[in-house]
Amino acid sequence: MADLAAIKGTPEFPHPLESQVNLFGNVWRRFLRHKGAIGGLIVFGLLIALTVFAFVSPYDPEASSLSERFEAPSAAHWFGTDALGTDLLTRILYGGRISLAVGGIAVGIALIIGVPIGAIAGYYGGKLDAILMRITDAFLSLPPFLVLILLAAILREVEFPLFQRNSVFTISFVIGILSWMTFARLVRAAFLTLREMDYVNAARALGASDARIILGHILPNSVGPIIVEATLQLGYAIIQEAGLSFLGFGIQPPTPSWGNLLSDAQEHFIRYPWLAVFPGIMIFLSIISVNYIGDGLRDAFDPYKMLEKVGEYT
Amino acid sequence: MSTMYRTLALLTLISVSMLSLLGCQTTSSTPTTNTTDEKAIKIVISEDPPSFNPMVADTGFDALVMELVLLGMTDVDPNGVVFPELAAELPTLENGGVTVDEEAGSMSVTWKLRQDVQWQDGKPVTADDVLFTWEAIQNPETGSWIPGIDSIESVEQVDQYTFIVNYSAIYPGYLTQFGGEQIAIWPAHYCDATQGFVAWDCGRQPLSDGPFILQDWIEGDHMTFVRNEKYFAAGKPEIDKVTVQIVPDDSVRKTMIQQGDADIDMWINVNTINDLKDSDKAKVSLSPSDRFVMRLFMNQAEKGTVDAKAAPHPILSDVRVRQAIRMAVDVDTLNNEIFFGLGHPQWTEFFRPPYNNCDVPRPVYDPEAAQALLEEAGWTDTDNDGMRECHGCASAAEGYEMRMEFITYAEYGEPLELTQQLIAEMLGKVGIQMELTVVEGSVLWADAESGGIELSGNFDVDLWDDGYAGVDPTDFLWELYSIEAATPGYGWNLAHWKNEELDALIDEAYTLDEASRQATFCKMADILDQEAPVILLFTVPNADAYSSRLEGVQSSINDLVTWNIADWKLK
Repeated sequence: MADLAAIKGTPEFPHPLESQVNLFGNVWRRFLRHKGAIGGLIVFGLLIALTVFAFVSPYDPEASSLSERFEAPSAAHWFGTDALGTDLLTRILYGGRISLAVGGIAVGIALIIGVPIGAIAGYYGGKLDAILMRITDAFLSLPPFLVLILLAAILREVEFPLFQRNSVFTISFVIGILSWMTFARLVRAAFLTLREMDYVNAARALGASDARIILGHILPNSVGPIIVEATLQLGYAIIQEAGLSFLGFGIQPPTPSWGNLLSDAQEHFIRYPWLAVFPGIMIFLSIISVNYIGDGLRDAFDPYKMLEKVGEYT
Repeated sequence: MSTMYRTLALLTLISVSMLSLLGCQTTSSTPTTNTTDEKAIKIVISEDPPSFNPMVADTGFDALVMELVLLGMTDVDPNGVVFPELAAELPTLENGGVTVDEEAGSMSVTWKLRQDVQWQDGKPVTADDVLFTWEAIQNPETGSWIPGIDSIESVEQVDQYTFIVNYSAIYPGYLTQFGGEQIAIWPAHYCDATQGFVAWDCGRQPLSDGPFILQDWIEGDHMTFVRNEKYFAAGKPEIDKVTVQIVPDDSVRKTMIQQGDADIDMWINVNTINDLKDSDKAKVSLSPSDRFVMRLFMNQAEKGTVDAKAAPHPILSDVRVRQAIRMAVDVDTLNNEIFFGLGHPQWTEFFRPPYNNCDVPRPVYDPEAAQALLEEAGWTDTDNDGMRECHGCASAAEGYEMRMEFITYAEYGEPLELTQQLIAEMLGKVGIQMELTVVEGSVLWADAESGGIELSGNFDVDLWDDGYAGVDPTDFLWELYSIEAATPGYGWNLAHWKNEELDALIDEAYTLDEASRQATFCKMADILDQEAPVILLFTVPNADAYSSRLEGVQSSINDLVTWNIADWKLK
């Protein structure tokens, strides 16, 4: 048996076999070389930290202060104040919690629906595959935003635990059930290739159950594209929440979200531009940072890039 | 490399969008030039009128264009004074136009038409047209409901220019029976009776007897009206051409009026009033009297139901809770901060002349007293979460949380939404938690069968502005407070509040005896003040913006701004 240490590559040029053994370590190393991705990770991490620690703000995000309406950015109010005199920075930070949570939960829901459908369709193939993929196609053919508005309007009337009015969960659910299709397709494609691999045949020959093969052998090997897609979907979900709230179907005031903050700014954009600019910048930063993270992950997971020279990354 | 390309692409995208924005600005600010001597004005509105017949949809835009082409028997001026349009004079008791049969409790009104009014095709406007219109309205299948219709026994023609309306009851609002902002007289020889009042083609292609004639209507874009040479008032209108342009976006309309690209923007909100304060190209006309009162409708039936006796609202059916809510809302702050002090605080339905003589003291703003009253009513906060729960209250289970849905409508825009948020905050401070919802007006006010939120009782507290046209509040009071009006489809007693005493007083108010009416109204004012089924907050200013080159524009709460368009002049 060959000594693993003897064929070990250098940190800059890892040996393929080692990559298989220590997949995530190498992915992480390659990810670290993607400057855009690192920038994205730092910005996104900072955004999350800011929203998590929003409570350190001395202001209440939902309490009005009518003597301070529409104040321009100042030392006391870094981002100025809004139509009710509430500190805009505080509202943006609390709004970020909502917007990012909606993004996260929506992607979670999309994963929960999309991955099993794609896995079953790809692994079993045949009629089941055809049926599941036609369902996926049917969902893909729906005009997403119109259906989002319709669903949000219907769910608004529903009184059900978690779904009460336009709760974070309702909005996330609405977005999630309309964005699982890409996951299903992606996972199916990966499974179609991977199920023919020797190690899968070996597992099958050893008597492993379908569930064990799917969960233990194929899924871990297709996790790369799923993670990449998840980061991209996170960005879409944040934009969709903003769009829904902007149209009045999303998160209801006084709870702030980046979307409804932007919507509230409409009437005052000319006179008090900061009301639109700052929430806009936050949406922009979060989307572009997760996009860069996704970009970096895509490169890091790419098996061909594994073998490329380090120099080509710059 | 890819990062660099991405950055470059991003920069290019930003520059292109900036350039296109600049491009838009240049186009929109190009002034419209008028090369001929034609006196033309432009009215900007947000959407097409559904038709020229406001009885069908009543969006306001239909009444706006109706005033350009069609006349009623009478109309109401901004001060609430009724004036004749097609009528030769106003029928009154004094001039013998009105006869009352005290014993039978009935009355007859004799109307005489002007003899110099023609349709645009040269045919005279006669009593035939009035009878034709009446037949169309009262058709049970294709007609419509108008105020007073239930009291009309018959309408009979005397001669070509005279007709009599026979009422089976005393109907004080008879002067605007076939006029006002909603009802016009339609041409018998032109409209197709078989199509029915609400659906006939002449509702969208009207034959004019008003100051202007509809020339063309490109839906979603514009309508053009030209001067009616046959208009009965000599030398009027002075304006040759009116273009009604559809501009959906509020801020675009505001910019157009600010830059002199439009002459009329109707129903502007307080933010726009404030923004146009210092403009030299645009002026704001405020209505001399108030009509619409911002108010809180509190459902006394359980949410989702309409019978307050069968299923009383767990929180709002207790009068002490309603009174506490009234004490906890700081009306002056709302009016001064959000409405720039342009509204006027009101606390009784009887604030408009001539029935503003009742002595109803203004409720005090006193959050401490409100809290005390809530404690007394059995609503306390024992778990210190800032929200009260029922501990010995009258109509809810022990521990029931004092949390309610609070709805308003979207079309009014930001001032109303801010008002809603502030009221919720004020109520939150006394331990009543309000969950805010903003919906389209069409959803809020749709009929019960279509799932209308209010008429199906599917709300706790609603906030919107309501009031009556003209000078007579009786029909309005019936619609809002009578027992019959609590049944969905019959009226707008949204509180689902049933008070026998008030109901009897409403019946008593249907009389021509002014002294008795005044006394009845004051008794009603006291009951409404005690019971607080609806909490009145403040009147909202009714205003229209007009270009400073235009003269004679006067905003009116009794009609649309075009009510006197025949009198407008261009400088």
